[in-house]
Amino acid sequence: MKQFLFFRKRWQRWFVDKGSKMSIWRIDTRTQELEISGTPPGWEKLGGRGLIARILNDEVDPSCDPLGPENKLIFSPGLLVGHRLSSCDRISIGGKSPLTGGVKEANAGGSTGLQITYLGCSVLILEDQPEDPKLNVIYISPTECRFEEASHLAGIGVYETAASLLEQYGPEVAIALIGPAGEMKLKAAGIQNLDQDRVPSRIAARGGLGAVMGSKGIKAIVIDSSKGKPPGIMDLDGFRKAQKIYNKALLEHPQTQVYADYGTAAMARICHSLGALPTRNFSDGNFESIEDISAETMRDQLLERGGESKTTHACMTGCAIRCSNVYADESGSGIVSPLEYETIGLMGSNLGISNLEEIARLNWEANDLGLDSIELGASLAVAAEAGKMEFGNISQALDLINEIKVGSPDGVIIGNGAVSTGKAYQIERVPVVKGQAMSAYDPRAIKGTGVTYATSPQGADHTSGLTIRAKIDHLDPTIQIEVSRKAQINAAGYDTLGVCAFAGFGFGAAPGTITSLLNTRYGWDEPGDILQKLGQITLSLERKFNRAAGFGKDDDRLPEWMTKEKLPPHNAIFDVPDEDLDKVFEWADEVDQW
Amino acid sequence: MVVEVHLHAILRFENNEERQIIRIEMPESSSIKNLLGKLPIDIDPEHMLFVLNGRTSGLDQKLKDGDVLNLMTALSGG
Repeated sequence: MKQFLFFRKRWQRWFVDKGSKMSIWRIDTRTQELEISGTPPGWEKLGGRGLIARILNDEVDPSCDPLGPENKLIFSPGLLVGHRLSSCDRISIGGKSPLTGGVKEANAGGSTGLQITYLGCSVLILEDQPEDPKLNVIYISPTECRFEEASHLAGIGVYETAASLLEQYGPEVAIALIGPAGEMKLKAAGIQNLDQDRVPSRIAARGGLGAVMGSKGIKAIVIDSSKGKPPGIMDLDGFRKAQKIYNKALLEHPQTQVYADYGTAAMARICHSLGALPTRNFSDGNFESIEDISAETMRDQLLERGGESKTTHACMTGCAIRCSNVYADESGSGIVSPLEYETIGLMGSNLGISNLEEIARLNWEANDLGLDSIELGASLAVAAEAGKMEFGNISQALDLINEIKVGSPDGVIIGNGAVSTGKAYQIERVPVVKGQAMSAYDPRAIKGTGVTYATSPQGADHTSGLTIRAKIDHLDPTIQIEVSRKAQINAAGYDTLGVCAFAGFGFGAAPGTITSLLNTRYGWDEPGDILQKLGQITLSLERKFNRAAGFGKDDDRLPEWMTKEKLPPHNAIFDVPDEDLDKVFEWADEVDQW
Repeated sequence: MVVEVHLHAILRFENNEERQIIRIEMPESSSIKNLLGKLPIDIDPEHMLFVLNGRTSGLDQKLKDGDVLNLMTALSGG
């Protein structure tokens, strides 16, 4: 308890106007002042990822230092956030990425998005940078914003920090926080959020946004909406009617049951069977120990182990899909929650590690440091190729993670991501686009996803437009452009709504419900397929920002070695022609903005 | 001819014998669609991925002796 006394030494307080209308909240991290304003023109019909792209275009110099005072850190709940619609309360966090140097949005479940909207805040923007390097916690409620010095939390892991803040502020607050990696401004650092069980594991992981938060001296934002209220709905009856149709479609969809019983880990065998499972630094598409890291094995283990194990778990209140889990050891004691496919791919097969418990322990360490497990897994595999660890050796992997913790030169190199690791150790086989590591789908065997990796303004990222579900030959280079384009527009649309990608199949089976929900929520009269429009606007704005930041056609490419080095078992290379890649966004400059 | 069918995730439950791999004898020139009718579980092709020898395939794809067919519910991501 002693440490909490430090909080009292220096704080400032602002009382803010209570009002039901949604407002823009800006917190100046240098002056520690909050400013609340109305919504500027062009922002009204955007949220989440789309609003981040708009704000970056309107307010952030594309050439600025991402870790300098000109960059902004934006917390932007999606347009449908705030109503406990199943799987629709995600928070988008964004800014200029220290990892890619371009536009960045990373989103997460948990309670941060919901509680920000309960403040009456449609977007929260952290601006400028303090001259004083001391860490602070920002506390915000509908009536108050104050900075509390938090130097006692410096270097403290995410789990202990969250527990300490929950003890101080009570169990009902939402928290967005960084770990030591964010404080160290490492480019693989993310921003974590509490899940519905108050575990700080819902990470807006990609692109180094944790470093941006660290650069502004903010360890955590505590959001107390206990005196807040849900955002208003213009036509409640109409909204509930659309919600009912969506819920029914979601619950009846076969994917819902797979995700509930097996989680995202079910993707491991799918990727292996398609020859696309990243293995030992993307050198193979099959992993000889696939059964040991499969969702089927994980489920059997968790059911047998019991205790704190959970095969199904919701990251957000009210989620009907419940794709999350709690992975426990043999005594039933929880190791990490959740254990997801991307981590199994990047920190499992990609490191040659064939034991789920070991992967879970690596995952916990990554979480506690506040690191993106995809970027870290890719970095470690590049380090392994350089001889810094043996593939499959868990203790050596943990040693390297410890190097990050202590801030040694090796640790800083690895914690800054796969490009940094490849450059320092002179390894050319680095699986990145625009400086960001690929997720757990080798683009040579799922070529549509390769098109997404290459052309997404976000850098390599499966959440920008995964194509594995398409019933096409994923090895045929001639049919991938349109599939990727559609997937990217949909993904950008869902990210603007605050909708989980897995809710997409519910909306897909209930056409028109997105437009109905938005029109009834906001009193709009938008016709047709609003998802497409939101996606197109968002991508158009993101590309505009990237162009101004210096990106060109040459950046919309996979690394050259992936166009030459054959991937077993199909011996596939990435052979979608460059001129086809350039067609993916040929429409984007013509998009009408709101 | 004999085709090996691998069942994934929830398809395991639906197969009462809890077997993940089933070997099925089929007439020559049978398609994936023909094979589905011989399985001990109901399959809704609309929501399924058919991965034949490592490649996503359609219902009309012809089978040959020794083929390995992975049957899995299509997922949107990991």
